[in-house]
Amino acid sequence: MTYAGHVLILVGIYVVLASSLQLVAGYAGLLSVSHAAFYGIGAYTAALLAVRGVSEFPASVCASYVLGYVLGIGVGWLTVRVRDDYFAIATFAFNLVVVSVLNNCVWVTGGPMGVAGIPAPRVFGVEASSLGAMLALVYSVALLSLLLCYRIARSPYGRVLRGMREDEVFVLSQGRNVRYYKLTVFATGAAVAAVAGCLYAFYVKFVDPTSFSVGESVFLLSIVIIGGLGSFWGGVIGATVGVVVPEALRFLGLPVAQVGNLREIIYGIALILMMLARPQGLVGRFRLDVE
Amino acid sequence: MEQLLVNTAVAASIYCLVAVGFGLVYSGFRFFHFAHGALYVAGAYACYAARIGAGLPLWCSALLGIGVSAILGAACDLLVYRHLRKRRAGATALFVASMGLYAVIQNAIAMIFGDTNRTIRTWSVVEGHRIGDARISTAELCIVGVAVVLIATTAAVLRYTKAGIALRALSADADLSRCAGVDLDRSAVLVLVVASGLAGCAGVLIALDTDITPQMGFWGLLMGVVATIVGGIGRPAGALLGAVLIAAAQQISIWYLPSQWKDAVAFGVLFLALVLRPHGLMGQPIRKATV
Amino acid sequence: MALRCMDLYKSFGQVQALAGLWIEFQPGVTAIVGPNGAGKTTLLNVLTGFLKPDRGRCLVGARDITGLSPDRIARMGIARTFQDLRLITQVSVLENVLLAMPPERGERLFWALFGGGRAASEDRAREEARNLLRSVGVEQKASSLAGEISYGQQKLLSLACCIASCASIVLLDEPVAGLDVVVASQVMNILRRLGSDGKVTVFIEHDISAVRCVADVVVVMDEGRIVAQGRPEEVLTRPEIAEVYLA
Repeated sequence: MTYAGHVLILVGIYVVLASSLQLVAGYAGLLSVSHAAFYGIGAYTAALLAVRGVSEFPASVCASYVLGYVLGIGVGWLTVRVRDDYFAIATFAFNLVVVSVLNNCVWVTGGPMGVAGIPAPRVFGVEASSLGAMLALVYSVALLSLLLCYRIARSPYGRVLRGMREDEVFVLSQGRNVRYYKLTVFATGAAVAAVAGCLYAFYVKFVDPTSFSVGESVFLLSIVIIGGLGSFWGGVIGATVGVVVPEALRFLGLPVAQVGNLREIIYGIALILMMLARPQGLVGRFRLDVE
Repeated sequence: MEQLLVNTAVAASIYCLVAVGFGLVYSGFRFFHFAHGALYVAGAYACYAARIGAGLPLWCSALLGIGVSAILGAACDLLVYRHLRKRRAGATALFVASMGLYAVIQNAIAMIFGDTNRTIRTWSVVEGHRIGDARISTAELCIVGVAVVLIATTAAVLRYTKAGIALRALSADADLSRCAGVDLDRSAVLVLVVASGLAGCAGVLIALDTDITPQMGFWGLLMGVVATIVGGIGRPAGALLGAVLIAAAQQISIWYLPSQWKDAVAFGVLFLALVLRPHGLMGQPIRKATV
Repeated sequence: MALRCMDLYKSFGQVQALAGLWIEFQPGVTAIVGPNGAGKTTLLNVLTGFLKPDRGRCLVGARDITGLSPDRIARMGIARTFQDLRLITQVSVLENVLLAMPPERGERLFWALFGGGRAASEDRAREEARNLLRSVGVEQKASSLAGEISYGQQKLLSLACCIASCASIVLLDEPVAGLDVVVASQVMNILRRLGSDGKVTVFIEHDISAVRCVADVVVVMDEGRIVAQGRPEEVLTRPEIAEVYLA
């Protein structure tokens, strides 16, 4: 039972990550290779606050969200100004730098050793240390995150995003400020990813730089692309498959590190096959191959 | 001062080799060949496997390393890129597929060799030769020497051979070149072989100087990409300029900042380039040029 | 409200696309003709903010719009179409029109998330969009993807988008190119309607019969300059114009 609970919690966290990346990459067409960096920033924010005594969940979430949003605006301001390929490069570079900072700022982040011993989150003074409580927290956030996606997708704002992802020139010529849309969606995605990091920190009780590398960003992008870009369910499916497949691989008896590598290989191959055979992903609404 | 120049030269040599290859693929085919970084790693590990695993002499292992990278690069084109080109897939789809290829190659290497550092340096650390006030080891001399020869050769090939001219024509106008009889598929394989060979060579050379890990691909890719962006796409001279600029910026920054920050400096250079440099980047937020 | 260009210069490397252009567009239908490379599309791009001129100014009434971003210019009431027919092909025809309508509150993130009463205004907008599609003749394709309708229908859709934006100045790049007679005449009717509604309607065209049919004023461009302008029957019959530009 606890194993099932563990898998469910992971799925919940990945649903938050996938749906926030769906906003940025799926609805707005910004293929960001930096989502794990914001995930990490949120995780470290929660971790560092918690080990210093601030383990109230709402406070951590707010701190992570705000920091994620502000950094998202900053990075977005630098990166959305350039064309797609360069945008990918720039976000990838940002991820590398975040990992580098996390590894090097030893006095703040604990360096490669990370931050351990994160206490259980407190919700209005009550400690939420049981599996059930953790599930409740994770799924509340996951549902909110999905609601956010849903609202945005069905709104006029979402309509502009859909137009922008295919043809910015058209959208500009209709009087919409493309820069505003790119910045706000990127920052929102970053902020929600940071909240996912918060969940991760409280659940795993330990954070280190290796969980937030470019490899993880590529993995997150893969699950959203494979699930399907621009579709609400694409993120959910991608997240579920993204958690279940590696867990299933665990049963093959491989050592933990190799499971991680095999997961990436499978996803890499899946990504290639998708581009060749089904560019809109499993249930997606947006084809990547149309230029 | 002289040590600074020496260090800059060594770093720039590696970056330049990666950058020239990356730039060749981008200028010819206009997509972000993310997998380039994995080919860099592959060269290093193939050399390692030959030297430490099979006990072959160093020069033989080096050539093997370059060969393996070149073959892997060709495989990327023959198995994936070619088919996407036939379906007229856009740059984004190629980029995504390239990410998949990167994941497969890097993680395969990690599965076989493990994540920890490896080294092919079986010689003891010697003081190295003197150039003025500076010291340079034999390995470092080798790096600079080989890089200079290869880059000069590449530049000459691009300028004077039929294949090189065909590639430059492709980079200027792909459709027109096709009409003029340039065989796109053959050029593609050739470009990938050359670019990957150069990347593999950079991997082999870096292995002579430091430990290797599967993760180093990201950094190699970043440096190569940043050098290309800063220096301008497509011309080896541009890649050289970019590589020298970044290496110099990093070495100078070591005077003022702790040395772990030198990667962040490269990132800073990238962003300065993205923000300030108009040529080779679309400074406007418009994705496609309006005609 | 007139659209004016004063002394516009724009070059691309060695090519001088605009070389000292002065023009004033009045309400009504104006056609711009001229050989390829005359700078017609460049002029349109400069007017709509997609290119910045090297020298010179563009004004709408008394407001200087030179060098403003394309979205700002569009919000000031200037709509355009593109030579290569830009539409959002992966969404429906109706969505394209909705995207063209003036920006509404729900397009800001805050209101998208927290604004209530969305349904009513969205329904109104959709109704209006359908009416617009009906007025150009593609209402039956409202739910089809814009990439799946015929070329002629796409051109009509791009016109619907111009009308939807409630722009008072409409700039069209080759609106009848590639169209059969039926659709071309539908397009020309729409142009005439726009002109008679008092909008400054400017279109670039190579099809001289279309120009004769619809335009109140013809402007002839060559090598980045205005060579002649006036009423079609007057300008197009001038021997030097007819020989050099219309042969």
